[in-house]
Amino acid sequence: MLIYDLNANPLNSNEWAFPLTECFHITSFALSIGTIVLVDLKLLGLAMKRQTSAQLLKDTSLWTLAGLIIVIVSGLMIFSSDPVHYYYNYAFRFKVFMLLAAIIFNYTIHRKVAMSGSPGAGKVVGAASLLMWISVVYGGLWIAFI
Amino acid sequence: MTAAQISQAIQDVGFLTYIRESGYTYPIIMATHLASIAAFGGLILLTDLRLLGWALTDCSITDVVKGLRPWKWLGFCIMVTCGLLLGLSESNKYYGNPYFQLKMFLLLMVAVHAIVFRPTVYKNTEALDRAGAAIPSVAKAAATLSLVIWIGIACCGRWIAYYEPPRAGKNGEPVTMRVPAPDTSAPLTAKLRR
Repeated sequence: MLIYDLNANPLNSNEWAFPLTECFHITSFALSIGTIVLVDLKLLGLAMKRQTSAQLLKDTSLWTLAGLIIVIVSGLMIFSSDPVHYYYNYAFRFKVFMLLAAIIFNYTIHRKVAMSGSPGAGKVVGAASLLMWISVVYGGLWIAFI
Repeated sequence: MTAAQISQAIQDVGFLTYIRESGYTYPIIMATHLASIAAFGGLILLTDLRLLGWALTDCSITDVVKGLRPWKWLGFCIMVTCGLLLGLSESNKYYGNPYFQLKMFLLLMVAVHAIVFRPTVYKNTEALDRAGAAIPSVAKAAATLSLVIWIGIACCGRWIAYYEPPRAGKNGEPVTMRVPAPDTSAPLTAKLRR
């Protein structure tokens, strides 16, 4: 039988570790989602009129990836502080589902449409991307309220 | 009137009491606060990274600063509105919280930062673009300070939830804070601070 001592996790025994990890989580999701939102606004025709969506995507993709890596690592650390409770939390399940969907969407359809710059598909894809990422944040916050 | 009475009077206002005691309204406002940090706070970080010459270098500084300005303003208004509703609805709990106080101070610094750097950076982007790849140090200084202030605001915002006011001991002396042993049997909702 696997025995995991929660008290041995620094996030549970150190006063500063948990909130500090959350700060990394928040700052890095601002970075990753913010850079994706920039491309979404361009796809919707609402910002950066002089640039192409392909150019904006290329210019931000490294920061998006960096943010995603930090947000996932810090998220896994937070998850490790109490895995069983998170696992049975429906907001957490919703969040993880939406996060996986949003990441897959981001690196497939979103990327393809942003690179081709077709205006019709751009509006639908930009709006879908915005909705997915915002729902990830809502799901994450809701974990603490159910 | 003392600060305690004033803050109590504020949070006793009808709709603020409703927000505090509501089942869904409170988390919806908080989630909106957080979502606007994700969407629009990210645009602030991106503008700073552009001024440092680390991101969006194919776009001119003018395009980034001017193009994102209306969106950052929209985000700022949503963030502040939600933040005010959350803060005022629990003002009695928050006014003495040092992280809340530091956050308010840093928000004041946002205004000071804007006033100080407006003529040389934010209203001077054409000149910055003419400098080409050698971005003037005043722009880099503005970006660095902006990053420090905004990340500080986000961190203080999170830390507000972890502050416990010192309780008076038997003889009135303050009791030093101790880390409580984690209660693994407690439900998650009790562990995660709001």
